[in-house]
Amino acid sequence: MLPLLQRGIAVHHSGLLPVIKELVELLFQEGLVKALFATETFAMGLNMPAKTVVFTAVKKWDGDSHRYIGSGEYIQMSGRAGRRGKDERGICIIMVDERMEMNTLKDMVLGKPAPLVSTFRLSYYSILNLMRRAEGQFTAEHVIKNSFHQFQYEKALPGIGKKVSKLEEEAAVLDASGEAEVAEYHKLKLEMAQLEKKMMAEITRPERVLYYLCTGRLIKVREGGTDWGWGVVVNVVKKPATGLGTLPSRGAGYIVDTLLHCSPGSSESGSRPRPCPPQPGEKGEMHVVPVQLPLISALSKVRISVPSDLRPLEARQSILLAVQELGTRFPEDMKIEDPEIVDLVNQIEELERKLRAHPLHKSQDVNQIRNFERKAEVNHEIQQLKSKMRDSQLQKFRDELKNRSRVLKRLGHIDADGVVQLKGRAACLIDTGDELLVTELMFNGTFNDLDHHQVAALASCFIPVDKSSEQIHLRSELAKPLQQLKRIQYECKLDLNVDEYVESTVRPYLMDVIYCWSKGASFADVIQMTDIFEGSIIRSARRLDEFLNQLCAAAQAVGEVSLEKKLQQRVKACAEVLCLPILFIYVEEVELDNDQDMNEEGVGPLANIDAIEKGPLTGILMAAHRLLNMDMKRRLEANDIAGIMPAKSIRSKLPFVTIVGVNNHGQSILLECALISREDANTFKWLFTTWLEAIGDVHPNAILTNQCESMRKAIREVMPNTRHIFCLWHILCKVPKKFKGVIDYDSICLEFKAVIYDSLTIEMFERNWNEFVVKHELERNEWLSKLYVDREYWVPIDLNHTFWARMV
Amino acid sequence: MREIQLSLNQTQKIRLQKALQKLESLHSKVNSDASVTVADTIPISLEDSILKGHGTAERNGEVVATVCGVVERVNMLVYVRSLRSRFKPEIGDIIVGRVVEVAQKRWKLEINFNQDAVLMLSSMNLPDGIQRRRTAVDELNMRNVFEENDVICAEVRNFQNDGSLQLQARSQKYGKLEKGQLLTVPPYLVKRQKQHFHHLVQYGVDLILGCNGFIWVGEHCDARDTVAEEQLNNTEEQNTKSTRVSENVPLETRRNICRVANAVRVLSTLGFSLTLEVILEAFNLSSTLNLGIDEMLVSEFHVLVAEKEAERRSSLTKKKR
Repeated sequence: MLPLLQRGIAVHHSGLLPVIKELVELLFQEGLVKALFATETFAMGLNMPAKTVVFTAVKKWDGDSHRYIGSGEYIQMSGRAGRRGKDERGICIIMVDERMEMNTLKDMVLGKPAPLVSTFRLSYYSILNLMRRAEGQFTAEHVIKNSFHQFQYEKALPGIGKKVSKLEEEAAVLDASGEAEVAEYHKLKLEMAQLEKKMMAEITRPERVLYYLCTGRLIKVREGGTDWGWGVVVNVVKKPATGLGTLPSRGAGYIVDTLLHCSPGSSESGSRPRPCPPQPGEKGEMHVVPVQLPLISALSKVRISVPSDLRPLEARQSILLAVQELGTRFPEDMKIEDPEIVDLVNQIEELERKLRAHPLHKSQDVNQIRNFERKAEVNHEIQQLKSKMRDSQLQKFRDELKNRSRVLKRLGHIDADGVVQLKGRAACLIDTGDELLVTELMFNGTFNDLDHHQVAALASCFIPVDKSSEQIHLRSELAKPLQQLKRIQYECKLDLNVDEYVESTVRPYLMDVIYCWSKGASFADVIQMTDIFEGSIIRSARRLDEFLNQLCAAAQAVGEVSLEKKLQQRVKACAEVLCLPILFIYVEEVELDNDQDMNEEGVGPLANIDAIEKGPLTGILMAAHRLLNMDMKRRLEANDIAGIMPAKSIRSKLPFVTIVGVNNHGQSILLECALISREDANTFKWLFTTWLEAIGDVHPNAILTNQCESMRKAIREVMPNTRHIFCLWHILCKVPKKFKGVIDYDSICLEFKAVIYDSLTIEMFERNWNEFVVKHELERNEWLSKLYVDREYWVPIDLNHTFWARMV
Repeated sequence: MREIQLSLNQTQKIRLQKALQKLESLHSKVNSDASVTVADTIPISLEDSILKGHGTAERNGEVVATVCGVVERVNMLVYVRSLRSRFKPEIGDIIVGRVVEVAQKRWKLEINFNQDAVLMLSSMNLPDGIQRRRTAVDELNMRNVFEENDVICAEVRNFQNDGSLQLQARSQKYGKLEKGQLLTVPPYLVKRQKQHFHHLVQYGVDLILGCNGFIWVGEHCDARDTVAEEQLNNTEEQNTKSTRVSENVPLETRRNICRVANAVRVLSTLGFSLTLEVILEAFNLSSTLNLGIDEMLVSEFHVLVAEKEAERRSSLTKKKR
């Protein structure tokens, strides 16, 4: 990535590590990236304009099909073109690399954004949670009735009604003269078509037709609307089974290689896969074309000899000639003598006769027939719409609710009256994964004999991840629970296709990865194990964390202490592992808060990426060099400037350190900030060393911290010449707490402050201090005695000789 | 089976015992060795890995009960459902409680739990029915909604981290209960059901079976819009309030209330779990026997109820077969 970035080229997609994504975004905003290859993810971000947007394709893969880009997506992405204040106009280039309908393009470029459509569905989770509340049935229905889905449906009703009436009008307008006759005629026709179809199906039953399909047999091929005319059978091949599960339809398993009359040049260029018959009058060539059995429409009695070598053109042409000649000499004929078929043939002949005799056949009133057909169509449509109107969405949901309740009852989540049982209560707490399955696992004790690494790995199956093409090599300790999982699924799924269900819910792609990661493998090693993007891994790891938390709550609800403890341990370990992603969340937060110019931004994190990948993380230092705006300052102060606790939103509670300075205008500047893994001397030592490195090894004159012992140790070691003091404000903050319970607290506080501030010399301070302590009998107060020992670190009078830039 | 504190003569004693035995025999077929006392070993099959739930502990490789109660098994989970303990609330339970304190933005309710439950001002519908932020004025007017010693019904919303309980009363059907009686029974007698609010139409009586063993029998009122009215009235005529409570309940309804209440009392003394069916059964029995309300608490009636119940259950089980 780095060499690319140095040349001003970048890549951005959702599978990247969050920090790299962030970095790319920052560099892009700064204009340092000249060309960015991005997915839609990027376009969804805020404030990322470009001069030119290029679409390399108009179709995209959305998980189940290649489709054209929706208008909403197009607007979002093309809207990135044009930077405010820099470009006069934004340029958007669409590379249309295939034929496209004008209308599709128009829809894409000018179309209205996709309407908001409710995809409301009832899950077991929501049903259980509704049932848990009193009078579950009532509330469930209430919720359905008041859902957006129902609202949309009701809104659509008048529209459907209007459509129906319009169609009815149309039907009325259509000429109804001679309707009965037309109807009869139509019926005859339909009947005949059906019979013909039946006969052909009979003929082309593989066991029968194969016998005749020997080399040289003449067959007639018809595909949909195109009639290929007569061809010569060359070979019959049995197709290999198409795949598990799909039952091969009759006859589709055989392919007949047939010499067919093709338009010249059609099958010579490999790019056009579909040959086509020659236009009438056009001189064609014979080619071998694979034909499926159902496409054969007629068989001939005649066989011609086929030369053994078909490659030369002349040989094939000679066959063509022979076929054409035969076609004129022999009428079509079949050699199948089955009473059924004979019967069918007779019926068809009968019908044909009738059809001929019918008065309409002669008049051939095309118009009338068309009218009739149209009318039938309209009537059909009306019926459909009406049935749609009738079957209310509410009814549908009610049925589903009933069915799902039945499943819940079978599994023992609710009892016969719909009262939620213990099992259901546990299931109520899990919504990240498949709630039923997970509860089933828990209650069957699957998690019992796994250690917490295995639990995490197993749980990772329930987290949706990208499909990995890789074959998964499961470690033996993981394979067992997975087997068990499958078995339980088999047991508890009532009426579902088990294999499919297992496929869809269990995604064991990350099991191995999570297992190793949780065992302490470094992230760099872990990403080598799979072809899933590292960003996706982190995303799913975060979801896993959430899932484990829920599982923990469920275990607690059940009262299973050991499992709960195990899970808690797991969650804790997970949080440690996850400090990596969390780090970046916070960076992001800080950066969003400060929307000031960000020159050289990103350099800090960049320098530390390798540090992260190397292994156990001590911390991360971020360069900031920016003025603190008021809001930021307040926040930092609220978080205790010396940075003990970051905002509560960070679950792992990583210490957040800010290094603040004062510029020559007396303004506070946030020099650097850092997230560290723990508050011990080594970490601080690392922090200060890194910081000094970053600022060019200039030791500051003085540094101000709170009374953290490990920090003092670190400073003493790393910056021996720096004057280190404790923040007086912090000390005074603690006064109320430390003097709590002392008689005449108010006067003590006042006196204490007087001692600190009003002493003019060091000797005077010491005298005053002693007097103060003796007077109030505070000799025993440990805090005070410790303060006295450290007095040179904080007493204002002691600090007079150093420059403090009014920070004290 | 615990001793029933009743003064019975010899025949009554024998009849009652017979009835109870009959009941027990009907029941015991389901799971015979289910009830345990503290330190009883719970038999488990060793080859399976089991989950130990509430009320169990492991000791010397055996699973031991830590409370008295009934062993329940769900798949691999084994836990002991304790009897005769304090109420153990679960989310979604309907409870009846009494206000013990009006505090900052909240009421504290006695609900037979090991702590007082908290009903926040913000988790109940305001008398005016509008969804809005609660202001300082609302806070000042809290005593107009509920006062100390008011009886309230509400729903369990969630547990706080410290184990305290939060309630909510966000529906018309929750709120202050007036003109009736509050009965206290052991909470295990009230099973969680689909319906806890019952309106006995023919008697004009509301019956609320709180999961916490507090049972309210009172005059029926329609969806409690009266609270809103009262709020308005209250601000104007505070002092007439005490007279309003007792007015307007017809004698017949009051009798019915007492009769239902006594039926509940009888059943709880006998230790029968309280469902609408059983209560109505006892109610009807008393009225068919032409007993006065006060006579319902006599031991003879207890015996009768027990016999009737035994009969009913046996007929039920017969029907099932």
